[in-house]
Amino acid sequence: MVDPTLDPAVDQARFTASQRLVRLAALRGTPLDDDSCANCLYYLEPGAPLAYCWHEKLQTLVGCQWWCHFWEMTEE
Amino acid sequence: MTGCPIAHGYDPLAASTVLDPHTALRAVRDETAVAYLPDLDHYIVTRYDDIENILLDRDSWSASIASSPLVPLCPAAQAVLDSGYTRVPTLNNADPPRHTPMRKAVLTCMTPRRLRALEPSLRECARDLVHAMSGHDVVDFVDAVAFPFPGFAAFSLLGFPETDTERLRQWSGSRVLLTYGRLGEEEQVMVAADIVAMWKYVEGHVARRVAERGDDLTSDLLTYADGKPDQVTQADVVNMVYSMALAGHETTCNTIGNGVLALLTHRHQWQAILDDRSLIPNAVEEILRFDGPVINHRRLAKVDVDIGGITIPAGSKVMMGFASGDRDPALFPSPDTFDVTRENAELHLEFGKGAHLCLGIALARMETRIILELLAELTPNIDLVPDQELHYSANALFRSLQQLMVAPNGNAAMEV
Repeated sequence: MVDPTLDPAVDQARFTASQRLVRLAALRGTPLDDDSCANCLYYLEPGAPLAYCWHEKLQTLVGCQWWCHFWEMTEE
Repeated sequence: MTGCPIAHGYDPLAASTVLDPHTALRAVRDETAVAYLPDLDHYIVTRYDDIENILLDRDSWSASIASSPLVPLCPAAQAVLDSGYTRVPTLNNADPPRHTPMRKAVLTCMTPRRLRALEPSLRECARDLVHAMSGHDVVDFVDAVAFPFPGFAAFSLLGFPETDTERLRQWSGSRVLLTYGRLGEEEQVMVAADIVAMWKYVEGHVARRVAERGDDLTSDLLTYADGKPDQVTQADVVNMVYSMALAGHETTCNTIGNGVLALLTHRHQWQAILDDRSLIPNAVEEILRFDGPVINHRRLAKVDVDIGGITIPAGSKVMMGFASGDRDPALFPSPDTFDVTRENAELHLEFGKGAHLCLGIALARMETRIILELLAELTPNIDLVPDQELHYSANALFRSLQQLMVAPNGNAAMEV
């Protein structure tokens, strides 16, 4: 049962924002070659299956097997 | 080609299209998502969503033709190239598995963080250039700032001596024309010789860095290659440096030149920046969207692909109309309006997307931002010299302004 007090406009706004993020970052749910969020500089909790991405364009929860074109090498 | 409209009216190399590609592309885009260009044996894809899908789909599309000549070379020009130009696909024109270690090598040595660390020295160089320009009544902005600043950034990053800047500029112009232009046979032979000369120059530069490392990207790539000899060779480094010798400055030069033209043509937008400098980062994105440095980019279909109900057969060459996608009204409202406050300007296609995202994206954005900040600070009254004729490099890829005459202190100051 959907709560009738929920405002669909909020969902619409969040949906639009998430779609924009996917487009801006070319975010996808699979790795690119050997690169994935799990071995990216901006993946805040290496080893965790889900973690916060602190790249300034994302700043959102991502999965360790995801990838986006802002991927960066971790510090050697 | 069955069922595919023929773009009879669109020739990316026609003089009128070189001067104003946006009008010509809009006419194609309004009519169809895909058209065939019989004279060039390419398809052109005009709409944002379709171009984005091509960029992100490495299974269906190959980057292998990205740097291949748009029109076949004459035998004499090909013979010149065969005499000493041994480039192989490496970065922008490579597919997996070869692209993967090349891209990783550059990502390792040229991180956005490292590029951002260059900002103080770049700002100092830019300040000197803008300050020197401000001492003139009238000056060619491309010659004074738009080329030398990204040229300094790219060439010093690669370790090229400053004294070689002018010949690197000439060779780069030749590369653009031979690859993306339509030259006569005699011109093809001449510019082919420039390309061989540039290739030999880069080979020599890398060889010197093999013998003695410096504090530059070429040296870092060689050191990286030393640690991963099974993945990257010295020949690969030559290819990477050769690629970056053009990519590192050409597009940013165009962005800065086109951007200043757009801002001074839309004077209220320049005034908006003067009133609120925090608009500059988004202004950079809107410049890239509105009149960015790359008009078209290319891919090869690996399989039959359906776009907008039209089948593009495997083996077909495709132009992705970046300048068209960036003015697609489906994504950008009032797309022909230049608006430095545009909310979604940064979604433009100018840096590519996905695995082939431009590796110098942080540097390009930073350089353009620095120039706009310094122009606002040192030459706020800068204006275009009226009634000037604009000329662009006659090629199908880069939107490359050849000259832009400005009055750095305003036309009123010039008349006093």
